[in-house]
Amino acid sequence: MTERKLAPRNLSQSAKQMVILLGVILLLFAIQGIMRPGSVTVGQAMNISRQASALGVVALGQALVILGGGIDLSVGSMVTLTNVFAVSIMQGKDENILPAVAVCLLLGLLCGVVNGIGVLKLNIAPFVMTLCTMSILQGVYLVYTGGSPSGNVSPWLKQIGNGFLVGPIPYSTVIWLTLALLVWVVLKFTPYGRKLYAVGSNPKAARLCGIRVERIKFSTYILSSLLAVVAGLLASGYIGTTSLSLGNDYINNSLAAVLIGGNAIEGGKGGVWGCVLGAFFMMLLFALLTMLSIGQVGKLIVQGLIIFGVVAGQGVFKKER
Amino acid sequence: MSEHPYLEMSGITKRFAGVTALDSVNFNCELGEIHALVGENGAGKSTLMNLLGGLLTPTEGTIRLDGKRVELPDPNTSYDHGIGFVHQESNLLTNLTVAENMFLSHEILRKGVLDRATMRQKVMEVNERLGYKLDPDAQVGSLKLADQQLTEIARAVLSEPKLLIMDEPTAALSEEEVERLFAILLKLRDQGVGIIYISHRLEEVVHLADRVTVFKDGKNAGELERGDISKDRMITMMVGRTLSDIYPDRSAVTPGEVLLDVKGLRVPGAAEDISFTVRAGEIVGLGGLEGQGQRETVRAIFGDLRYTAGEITVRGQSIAPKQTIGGRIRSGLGYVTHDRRGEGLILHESIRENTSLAALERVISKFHLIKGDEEQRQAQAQAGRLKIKTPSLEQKVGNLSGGNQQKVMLARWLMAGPKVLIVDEPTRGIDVGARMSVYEIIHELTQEGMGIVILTSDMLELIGLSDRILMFYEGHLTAEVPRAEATEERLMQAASGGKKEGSAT
Repeated sequence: MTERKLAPRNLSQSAKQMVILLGVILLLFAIQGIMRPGSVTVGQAMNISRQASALGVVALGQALVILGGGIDLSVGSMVTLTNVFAVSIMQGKDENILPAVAVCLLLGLLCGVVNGIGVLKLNIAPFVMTLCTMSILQGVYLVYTGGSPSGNVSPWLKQIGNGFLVGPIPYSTVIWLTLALLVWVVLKFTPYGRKLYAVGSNPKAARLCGIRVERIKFSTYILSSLLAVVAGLLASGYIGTTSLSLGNDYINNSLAAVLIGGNAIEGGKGGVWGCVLGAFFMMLLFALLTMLSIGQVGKLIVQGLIIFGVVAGQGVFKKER
Repeated sequence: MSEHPYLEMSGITKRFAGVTALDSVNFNCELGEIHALVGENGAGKSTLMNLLGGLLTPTEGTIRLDGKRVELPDPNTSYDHGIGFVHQESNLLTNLTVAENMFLSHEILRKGVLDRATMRQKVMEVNERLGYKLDPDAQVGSLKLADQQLTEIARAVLSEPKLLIMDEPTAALSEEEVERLFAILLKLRDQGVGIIYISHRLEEVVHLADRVTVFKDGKNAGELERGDISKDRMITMMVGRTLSDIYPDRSAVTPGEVLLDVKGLRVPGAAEDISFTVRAGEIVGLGGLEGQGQRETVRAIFGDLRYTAGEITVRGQSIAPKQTIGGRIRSGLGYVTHDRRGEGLILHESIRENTSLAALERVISKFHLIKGDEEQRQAQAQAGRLKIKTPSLEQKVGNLSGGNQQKVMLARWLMAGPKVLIVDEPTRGIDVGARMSVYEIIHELTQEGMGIVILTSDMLELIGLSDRILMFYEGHLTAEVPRAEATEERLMQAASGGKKEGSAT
């Protein structure tokens, strides 16, 4: 009957990981400052955040899916698909932007629904299902473009992807952080958010509390696809043109950002700000690698090592408990 | 008999993170005897046997086999020392065959390849020895529960154990199957195997055991030799007090209006033609052996399982068969699961978050945001009422004791405010102190007009707590027994398929 001594509430693992991540980001800036004195400025940090915004938005969606106990591998293809369709509909004209966005959002919705049906109605493992959608979407944009995409990004979208709202603050960073804030409010202060955590942690328990587990999971796939569309638009604005390889890095990078940020791959643990920092960290690291003249190959290796390291670290931490 | 017993466990203490599960316990067992180990849930029987089986290591104390001190750090070492263990829950791999399961991790190889013929032959030898016929090539998943259990026993016997531990082997068996099991155990005993037999069914123990050791709160409460073994003596030693002390006095209960009315419920493959009512202020106990359809029945009522016939009415309001769990909660039903860690709690979340999970809609503002202070207030009120021992509601429930975890489960449902609360195994795995508070709170809730349904495999709890007992056997209701007539004999008879007596009201 002895009640065990209760330790003061410790920082959760996610919070700890966020603190570590913040430290590592500062460390990277320090390294950069030593290698190129004077290169660490607010402007440069903002520039990194502008580059990170598309990834950051994809990572928000990925974080939602992972919180619910799933994974979404179709986000990269969704980004490219958005780019290809949006640019070809826009044809460089601002007046075409509404139809372009509308078509892309519809495609996103469709992709999310297909993922949701596959995972929740047909009981296909999320990994397999979203891998299938990924490949189907690739096929769709290859057929649509015949292998050589055409069109131009409209000036307005270029401005959104590249321009600055005030001073050194880019539009895209503002959009990213606003969406993050929104997702944070939903996770933290709404029944939906609470239920999502419960669903990801213990779906059986969630079900017995009257939570519609399948619906909640379904919604994460839709949100993830829609956020990938937003990211695709931001990335299109940033590069200002059309590219079939635009979305290539998003699967790995979004997973890395989410996991580095302290979200657990098995679901139910984590939050928004960790994955915001995670996306920023990834871009900062790549910028540093570029500065050191480490090419694409080096980036890929580093990417793999980071995901491995973080997940292994979480596993070790779990064992120690 | 030699001067020292074959197995001698002395001064055994086992602590789990501050909780003492066993407190300097002594236990011994001779070859060729059936030694029963009895005690309430959480008294430490299974912990002691897990020490012997190599699943746990003792904090203090020594284990001797045949006079020699041994360390049992893992199950394989125990196996090598001739200790066979048949667990309470099946450890078989259902997609493998009987022979494959029996030789799992002890496969016989010839030239590096599985020697199936020899293994099959060995299975037949064990069949011969124990007098039953298991098909070595049958897939375990396709066998009846009783045959799966025989496979477990056969697996243990295969290693020629000196000692065989049986942890509640009869929980899922019918009377006939129990008889068959006993014949096998007696045969093994006569072949010189020492059998340690854990059971809740005291009449079985009287029938079978040569010696009984009684555990209470992690300590030896005494030992009885054949001839002195009787149910009354065991109960007195187990409980340390008479029944009327731990269960609330429910003599003054007068049931009110009907809150839950179930008519002709059919849950495919589990329950058939189940009808009963629950009134305000009443505790209705659903009893029977494990797996007789009682759990499926309440889960169907709660909307977790599909039912193909029958009508459920809560407070006069009919519930559509397609109604979701959430809808049923809003109609006034609640269900505390038997498996609070597996499908009840979110272990890494706080007491507050766990408590409000089924009642989030009660603490939201008009913008659909959770009102933090209101959530805190309501969760605090329930935690306080249930006397959950914690410095803060922000404590993770994974860090709480079993008793406090169970209280969090109850707090969750009190916050949701049901009219009928179904409590599945109200006190499984919690200590005596927490048990009494759970009983007390259930009693209080009925005084406030709630209707309670309890499911329990603990016969004493069923008798002690229920105003009315419904017994299940093979998916049917076999008896309805009012409190005044509830005796273990009467209930056991109904649990084994005795005639339906009385009528469901």
